[in-house]
Amino acid sequence: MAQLEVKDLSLSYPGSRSGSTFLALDKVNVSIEKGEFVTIVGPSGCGKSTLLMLVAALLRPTSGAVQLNQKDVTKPGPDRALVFQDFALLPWRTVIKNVELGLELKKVPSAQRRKEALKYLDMVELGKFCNHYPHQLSGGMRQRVGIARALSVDPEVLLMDEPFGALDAQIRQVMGLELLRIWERERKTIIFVTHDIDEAVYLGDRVLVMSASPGRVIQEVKISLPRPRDLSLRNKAEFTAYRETIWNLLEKQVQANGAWRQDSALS
Amino acid sequence: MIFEGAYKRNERLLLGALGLLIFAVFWESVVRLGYLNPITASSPSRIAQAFASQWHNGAILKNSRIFLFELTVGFTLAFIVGVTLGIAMGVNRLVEYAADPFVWLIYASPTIAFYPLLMIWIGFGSATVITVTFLLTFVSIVVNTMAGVHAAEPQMIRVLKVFGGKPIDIILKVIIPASLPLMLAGVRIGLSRAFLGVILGEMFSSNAGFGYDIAYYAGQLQTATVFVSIIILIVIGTIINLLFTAVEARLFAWKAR
Ligand SMILES: Nc1ncnc2c1ncn2[C@@H]1O[C@H](COP(=O)(O)OP(=O)(O)OP(=O)(O)O)[C@@H](O)[C@H]1O
Ligand SMILES: [Mg+2]
Repeated sequence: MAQLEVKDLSLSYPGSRSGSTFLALDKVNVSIEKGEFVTIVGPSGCGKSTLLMLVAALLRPTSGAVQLNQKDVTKPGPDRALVFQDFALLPWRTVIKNVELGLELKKVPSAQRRKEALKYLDMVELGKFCNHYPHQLSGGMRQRVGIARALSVDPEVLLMDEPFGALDAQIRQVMGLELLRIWERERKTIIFVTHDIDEAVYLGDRVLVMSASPGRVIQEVKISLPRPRDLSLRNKAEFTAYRETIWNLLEKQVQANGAWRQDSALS
Repeated sequence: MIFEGAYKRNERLLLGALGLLIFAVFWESVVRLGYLNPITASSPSRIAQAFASQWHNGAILKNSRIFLFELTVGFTLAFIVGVTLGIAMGVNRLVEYAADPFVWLIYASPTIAFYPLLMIWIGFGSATVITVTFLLTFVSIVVNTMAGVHAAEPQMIRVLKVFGGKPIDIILKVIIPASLPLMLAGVRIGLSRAFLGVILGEMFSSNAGFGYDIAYYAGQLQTATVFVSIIILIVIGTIINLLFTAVEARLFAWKAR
């Protein structure tokens, strides 16, 4: 039995004119096993963030349902932690207090909270910055705080919305490896949105390719590369083949719709 | 060399004090040289004498006690009611719609004009002063707190929800910290209005306090004694302002400058 089921999920936002609606997701179906690492790629604006927000239950679907362990998901909870695309740190809290937030809400006692938070901050190499305020950090550092915050609550499903988007290529690879290590150790289910095709192939058991808006899953590409994976994989012929396949699928969508992001077009 | 360093560090203070000193000397001189009438204009030396006698007969301490008591009670009540109502109105639309007319009526009305009525209803003395102080103060706190609550970003609220925060967590951990800057701006305005409220209240509807003394001694043409009360009010106001600024600096260490 799948751990997470997305069934015929559609979502319409209120449109620009009153009374009109804008269809962002159109009957999306996904089924994810416990411990699976699923990556999602798709053109900008195709509804990737929307899909994650629906799984987190920050939005109510227009139709369809999200089920976790065969139960309908109706409200948000720490069993599905979200790493926000725009970090969403609380500016009045120090770095460590930001990481402690989820633990605070889970009523973890303060000494243990601090210890846990520090552990995850060390994991993202920000231990030294625990008493800084968000405005004193770079974008990439803030994003890592967001990752530490999500990991700290020990969720069943980790929803990551372009978590490495603000990182430079180098740290991005290091963080990717780090995430794989954490995942291999803790075996969390991960849904990982990215616009970097290499990253999607390199990290995922499966890559979901989404259509241009309104978003649908047009294809699932199973990645049967051996694990544990490391960076040398990128030069293997199979890797290049996967990348090729996904690139071709996406290219059609971009031609159908509009812009694919500059940086990924170059990679 | 040492003096130079000490001067540099306190330049602002020293030059400010020098300016005041020059002003005092000028004032004293024009009165002594007969350009101004000492009865109406008073003078620094007369004020000093009046200060000494007011100190010895205990008026200064007594008036300060009365003033601080009325200010503290009136302001604290206004703060509690203002912040609570402001948050309730900011969070809940129904509360906002229901309370809005009252808040704006009080905000727009010339509160001082109610003094005679309040005296009829509540009577002469501190209770009336406190009531007017409350009315003058709480609206600016309500209005600013509500604006502060509206300034809380939806994304921050989403973060709390994602990690399982309940409405009370959202209020305590997002809404209040996010609204604090505007709330405190309202509190600052409220404080200066409370100050005015107390002084006016004492003038109209009391038989004690700085406000009463100012009105009374002005009627007697004892201008030096009037100035004593005014100067002490300035000192109290300055101290409160400095304390407030220190609190703000501590609370807003997280803000990018
Ligand atoms: N609150 C909203 N109200 C109306 N329309 C919205 C809202 N949020 C998103 N949309 C629209 O829904 C579509 C999907 O948005 P979403 O943020 O999910 O895209 P995305 O795939 O995450 O894009 P990106 O890769 O640029 O982050 C977009 O066309 C966007 O304009
Ligand atoms: Mg997005």
